[in-house]
Amino acid sequence: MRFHKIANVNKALDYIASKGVKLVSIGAEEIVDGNVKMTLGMIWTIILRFAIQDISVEETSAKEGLLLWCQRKTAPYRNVNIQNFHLSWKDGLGLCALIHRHRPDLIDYSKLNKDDPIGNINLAMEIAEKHLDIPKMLDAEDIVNTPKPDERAIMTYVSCFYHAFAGAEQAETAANRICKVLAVNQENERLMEEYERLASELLEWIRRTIPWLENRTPEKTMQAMQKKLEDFRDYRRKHKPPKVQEKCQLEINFNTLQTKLRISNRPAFMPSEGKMVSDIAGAWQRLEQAEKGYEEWLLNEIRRLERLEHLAEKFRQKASTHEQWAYGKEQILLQKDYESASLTEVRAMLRKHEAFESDLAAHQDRVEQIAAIAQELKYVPFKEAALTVTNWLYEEKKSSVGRLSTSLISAHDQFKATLPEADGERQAILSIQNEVEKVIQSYSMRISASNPYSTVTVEEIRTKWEKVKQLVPQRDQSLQEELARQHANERLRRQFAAQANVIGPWIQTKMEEIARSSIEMTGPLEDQMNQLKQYEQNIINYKHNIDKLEGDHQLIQEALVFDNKHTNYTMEHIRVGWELLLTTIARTINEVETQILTRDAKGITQEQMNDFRASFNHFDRRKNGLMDHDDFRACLISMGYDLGEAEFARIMSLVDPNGQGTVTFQSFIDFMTRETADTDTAEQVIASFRILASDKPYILADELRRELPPEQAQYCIKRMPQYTGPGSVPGALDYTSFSSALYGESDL
Amino acid sequence: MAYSVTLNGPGPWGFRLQGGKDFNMPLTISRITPGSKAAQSQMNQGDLVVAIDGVNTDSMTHLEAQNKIKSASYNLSLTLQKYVDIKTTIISVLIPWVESVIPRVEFLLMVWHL
Repeated sequence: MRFHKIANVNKALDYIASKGVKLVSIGAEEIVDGNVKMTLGMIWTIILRFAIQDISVEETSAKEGLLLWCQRKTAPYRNVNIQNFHLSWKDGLGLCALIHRHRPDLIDYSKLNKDDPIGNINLAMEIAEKHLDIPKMLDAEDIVNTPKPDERAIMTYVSCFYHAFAGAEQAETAANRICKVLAVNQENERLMEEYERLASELLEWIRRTIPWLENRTPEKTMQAMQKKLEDFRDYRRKHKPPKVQEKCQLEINFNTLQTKLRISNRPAFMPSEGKMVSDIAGAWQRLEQAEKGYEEWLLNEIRRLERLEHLAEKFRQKASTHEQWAYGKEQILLQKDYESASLTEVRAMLRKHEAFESDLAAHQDRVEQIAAIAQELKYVPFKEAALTVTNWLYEEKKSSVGRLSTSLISAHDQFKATLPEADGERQAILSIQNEVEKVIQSYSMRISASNPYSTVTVEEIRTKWEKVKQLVPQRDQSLQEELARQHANERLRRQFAAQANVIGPWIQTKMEEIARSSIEMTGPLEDQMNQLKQYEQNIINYKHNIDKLEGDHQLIQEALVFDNKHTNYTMEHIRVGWELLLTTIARTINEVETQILTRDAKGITQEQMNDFRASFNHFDRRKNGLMDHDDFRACLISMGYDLGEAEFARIMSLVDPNGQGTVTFQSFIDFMTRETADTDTAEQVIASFRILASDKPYILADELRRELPPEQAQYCIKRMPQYTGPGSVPGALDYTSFSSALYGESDL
Repeated sequence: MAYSVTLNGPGPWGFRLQGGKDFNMPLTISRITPGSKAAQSQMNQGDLVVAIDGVNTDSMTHLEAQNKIKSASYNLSLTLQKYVDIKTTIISVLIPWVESVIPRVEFLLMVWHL
């Protein structure tokens, strides 16, 4: 009803009057009746008071601040030169430039012409009304045709642009800052989780691997032990290197994470129980201890088994030879045929027996040897004996590599030399046998077929001679084969040594180069990084040499060669050196990365520094390195910081803590750095939320959804607690406690 | 060395709380505002917060602890644990004891020679 409307309007007018606005001849009734002139007059009075008069109350600072802001924003547009709030705006390009600077999508600046000022002004006002919610306050013809346009009107209109754009900019900056903070938080959380995950995986692998390395139950056969050696080689070549890398990566991740936390002002990261850096280092050490012992044990066992097999073979051979010889002899010796024999027969038997005895004596030695071998085999489970035996054999092999072949070969050659003589004797025996048969035949004697003087028959001699004829070339061949094998081994040794002697020093040199690079480098960090990356590439390109060496090492181990006098480097040396090299380069690169992160986080660019310098100098009126409060406020306005009283007071207490009324360049720079640099504190995040919440102590879910990207808005809505302070409304979210909780600090 | 403290309401109490389970750090008093209610009590900077209103803080995140304190009905009662650093212990306990056993000059000479 009408009197309700009048009451409402009066309420509004009372408020305006209370703010010190004199409303002459404007009454509630005219407004309610829709009197256009009166309404416009009231609106203008309001504008005068709240938009312009605010500026005129602090006229110097605000007007100058606004002017400076315009200059700054239109600086890139060469055909615009803002010096005042009247003549500079006549061609309309200033307004268009302001729009284009902030919203290039709304206007095509390149198509504009200085010669169409009315068109330009109208275009600007059209766009401002449609897209920026700024009503058309100016008259284009008026501005163009008046020699000096109305300063106040233009200032009012331009200040609308200021509020629209600077406000939007502020909100955008605030939203960006919040997003950045949340992103940093989420990133840090992710890194922490990843660290924990990698750490438990690595520790689990170590936990599984150590028992395998500590298991010292020997296998029964050489094959099984060699398979174990092969497994160990696989472990060292294929399974362990990625784990070394994982461990290195874990260290690097930890360092980077701590650096990031430090520069983003968060508390340091404490890994959970059992996953600290010291725990991982301890477990790794235990692993390497177990490794060392394991390889030694493997090699010793293999040597031991080799000796065992060799002895067993010897025993078998000799025992079977002896058994063959002894076969039937006992029968013969038990014969009591002498009881019924004649004298001649007994004499013959005696000869036979004597022959047997000398034969036996010859065999005695051999039997003793066999017994000795059996004894050794029996006692072999005793480690000490075995070790001494294996050591003896090892020494023997070591010192007689060449000798073995030559001595055996010469022995064999000597043996071959006796063959013709033996053959001669054999022929002699055959001819005697033939004569004996002839005599028997010629005298038609009834003689037993067997020779009473000897147990050895011609048949036996013949068979044995055939055998010898067979075995000699066989032995020849096996000796030659052995010789060839030894030569091959020697070649392998030389090959390995040749490579190892090149690789070892190369690794050493690279380590020294890396160390020197971090000590000597005085140039920018980027240069250091480039050089380290180059080293890294070199190392990657060199890897195939290590693989080749591993291949040779495998051949050597398969050939059961355990020594190499041509080089001081063992495969293990090279492996360890290589791993150390990879770890060192990765660590050094990470150190430089950390330095770069730290440097970039705390700094502002040279350009920004120049900007700040210029602003300060402009407002430093007495040129004494000091700005007073009003100038500081103007300066802030010119940079787009239009602050409310409370906010300005807070900032003043930061830049002028002693209340001296002036702001030094240093505190100004510190403030600007804090505002523009990447570091953030709980206070800044709270301030950012306050901007988005339009200065309320709480924020609403809708506001969050409006200002932040959906993912971040959801994150905040989920985590923010209810706001329970004064002025609370349902759905109010407490951004203050949320922000301070991000940093793990709250004031209570 | 645990002790209890009751701060008379209403808040604010004048101390800064730091840490929590989500930071893998114990809840500690990182700062006490001079002249505040916290300053007038036995509380000291560095002390650990063991319980809030009788509830153990072991598993609390920072936000949970903060909310618990804020939701105190009027007075706030905390159980804290004294934090004594090595330097203080040495200066206040160890050195006087040693001095009571060995005369000062001799002790200083001995330490100097180490």
